[in-house]
Amino acid sequence: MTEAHIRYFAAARQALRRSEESLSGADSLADIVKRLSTRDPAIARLLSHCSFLVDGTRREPDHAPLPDGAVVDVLPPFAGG
Amino acid sequence: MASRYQRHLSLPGFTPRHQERLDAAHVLVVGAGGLGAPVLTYLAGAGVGELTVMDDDQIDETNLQRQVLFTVADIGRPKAVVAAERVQALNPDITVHPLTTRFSPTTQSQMSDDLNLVVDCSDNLPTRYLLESWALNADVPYVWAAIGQYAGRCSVVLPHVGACFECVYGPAERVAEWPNGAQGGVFGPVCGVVGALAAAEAIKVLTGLGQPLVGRMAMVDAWSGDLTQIVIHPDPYCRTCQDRHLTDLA
Ligand SMILES: [Zn+2]
Repeated sequence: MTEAHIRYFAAARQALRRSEESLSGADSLADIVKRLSTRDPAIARLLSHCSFLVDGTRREPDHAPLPDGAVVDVLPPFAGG
Repeated sequence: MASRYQRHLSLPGFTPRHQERLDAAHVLVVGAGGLGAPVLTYLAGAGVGELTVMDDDQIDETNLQRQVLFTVADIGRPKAVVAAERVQALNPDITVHPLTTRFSPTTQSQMSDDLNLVVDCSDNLPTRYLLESWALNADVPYVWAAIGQYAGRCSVVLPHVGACFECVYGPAERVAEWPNGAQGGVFGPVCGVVGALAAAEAIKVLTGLGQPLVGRMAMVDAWSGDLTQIVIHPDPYCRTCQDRHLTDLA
């Protein structure tokens, strides 16, 4: 069973009410986003805007399998100056 | 310039040659707002010989909560002009050029071709994508800082090394800020933390001192007090990076 370690940053921390968590049985990024989105409509909205890095490289939330132990960074984009 | 930079020259590793590199440098700072204030202040103080400050906005009262170069008396005046005046007064030995335009496909062709570094302190995504792509195509190192609510981020992109802004956020037409900048609010001191960090990175790249924040993104979360950094790799599908001839990080 694959496990993914998810790290939340900025507004994602407030929305998910945690800075990180591990999800087991996380087959793909699409699967992770779907599972998190069911928690709250506000989380679903936020995640639809977020950028996702898998082990440091940006990935679209697709169905490609994740490596076991993948670190997923959830980054809400902001551009304020 | 002897006594002004004495505290640089007392630093381990910092020699007169490093100070000369700063003096010979021309840096473009786009955005003279919350981030631009600390960036311009520290770069002028450090003795960066030539600074171009670009901002098409005027100062209003809501800026004063975080844009610490400005005072009540400046309301209504152009940010670039006032910022240039302030940092010129801080260091009369340098040259400061204010530009009261927005960075755009029109204005980018008018930019000086002797720039040694760009610091992106702008306040919107389209400017960031445009500026980054222009800087990297011109072989100019690009330091970016950005803020949103209680959080801030900063990274360095060298012409041929390191993941870029688009590598992190994806193609411009598919990114939207969350939450929207003006609606989301900004915790003032975050501008200072992240702006000072961007200034430090700019000085490091110009002098060659230290380890620049290349291939890494520093993140500040003032709400939790967390200071973190994550590794960022180039996105193989990034359009900005298509022509960069990337070399691997050492
Ligand atoms: Zn890129």
